Amino acid sequence: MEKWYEENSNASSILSSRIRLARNFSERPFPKGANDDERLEMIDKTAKTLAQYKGADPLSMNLLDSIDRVSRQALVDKHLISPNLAAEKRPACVFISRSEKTSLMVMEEDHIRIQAIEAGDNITKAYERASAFDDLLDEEIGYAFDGQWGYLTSCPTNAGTGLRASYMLHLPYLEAMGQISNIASSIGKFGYTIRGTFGEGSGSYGSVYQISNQITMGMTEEDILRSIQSLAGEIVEKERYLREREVAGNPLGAEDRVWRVYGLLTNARQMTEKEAITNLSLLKTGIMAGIIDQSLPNIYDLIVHIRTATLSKNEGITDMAEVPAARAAYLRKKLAG
Amino acid sequence: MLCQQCGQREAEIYLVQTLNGEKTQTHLCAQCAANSAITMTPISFASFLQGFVDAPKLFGECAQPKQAEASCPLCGQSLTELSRTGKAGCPSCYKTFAPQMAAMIRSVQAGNSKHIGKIPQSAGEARACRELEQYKQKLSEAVAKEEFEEAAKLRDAIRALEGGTADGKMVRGEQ
Repeated sequence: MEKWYEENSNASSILSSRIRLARNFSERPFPKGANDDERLEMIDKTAKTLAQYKGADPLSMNLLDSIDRVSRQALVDKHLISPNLAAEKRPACVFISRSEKTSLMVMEEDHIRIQAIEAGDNITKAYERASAFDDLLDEEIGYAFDGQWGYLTSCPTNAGTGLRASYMLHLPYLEAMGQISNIASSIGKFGYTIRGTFGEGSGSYGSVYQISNQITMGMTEEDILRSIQSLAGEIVEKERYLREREVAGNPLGAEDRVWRVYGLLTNARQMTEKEAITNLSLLKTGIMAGIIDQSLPNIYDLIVHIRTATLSKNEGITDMAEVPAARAAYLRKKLAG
Repeated sequence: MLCQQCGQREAEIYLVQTLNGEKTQTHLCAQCAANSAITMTPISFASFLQGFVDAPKLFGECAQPKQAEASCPLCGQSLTELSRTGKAGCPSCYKTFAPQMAAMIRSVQAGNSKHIGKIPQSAGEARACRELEQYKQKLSEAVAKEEFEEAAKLRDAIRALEGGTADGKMVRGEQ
């Protein structure tokens, strides 16, 4: 079965659409104040309910204490668990579907966080899947819900729909033209945020950005989805316009940049994670600008696989000093054949 | 499509706003959006949770005299704890500390304080209330359009629902 990032298209600036629903049991303290017995009881109840799901994309149950540190980081890198859950020392669990399109975190900030990811612009499809699991769980659990305030969550920032909808976008030209902070302030006024996916704050790299809604109450789920889809479309359209303008303005410069990066990726003998992501991002830009062949492998899939945690797990590397060489070898193999 | 405000520039922002229960949808260009008087300025999560200047003041304004010592019957969280963390200890905190939760919600949800989205199947009462609201809305629309036969049907359905709810029975009216 294909993983969601294998379905990704090199031709799209929209890497993925993601839905997160925050849900809670009604008669229990939120995770922070729940003791181990209560946590295990809720994990058990969730597991029994999810065992009823007999669909084509089966879920595997993973108690957090059975996942080692490196594997946890790999799950964080793939957005299957949050850094918060990865750091959790008390009983917690994550259910992950085979395609990795669905993950359910139990005992994160809320009792249950349902997440659905789809490649490309498929936010409605992602929502429908998350909503189906939502209904399955509600039937057995009976969520904490209030007629006035909607789904009750640990943090009031998630109350109401409990819905966080986000898009992962590849925006190299908006970034290069210094437009990201402008986007941040104009969408901020309407309750949306944009932040870099790789790296921290102003040190972000790879030109991958996530836009998501901040407001979860006072709008229907359809409103939120429609608005964010429209926003993603507008941003991506701006990116396309800038890319075409800049490439047309200096075609030789653009080509040179892309082909140098290709040379590096197909020949280097060692590479750090940051360098690999930065270079792969440039390569993807080259594909989108029509500078380099579209039959190259799925760039985002490569990014997923060269991240330190995933790479070391897949290749059975225990000495982290070997990772940069392994990464370069993997890239040479995938890109040059 | 063109901006609904200036009618000149391309609309870039699709804005859905709910203020006082009324929903409006607007398409604006970046300039009109920036100049818009109806910006919402949600307080950022980080500044709120770090005890942004409003929080203690916010709570001080809503605290009822008896609440100073109150703690939630389910999880035992105190009001002090709530104002320190900005988070509820359990779902019951929303009722126990209703004024404070309402204030927090309004401030982080850009003034919104009413959920209008999905209702889980398990929340029967909330579903009935929403259905009643929808019937009432349809009734006033039918009356405005002078569709009195339709209005009469809706009125009967509303009476049945309200009568049923009052007795503790869920009686479904005709659709």
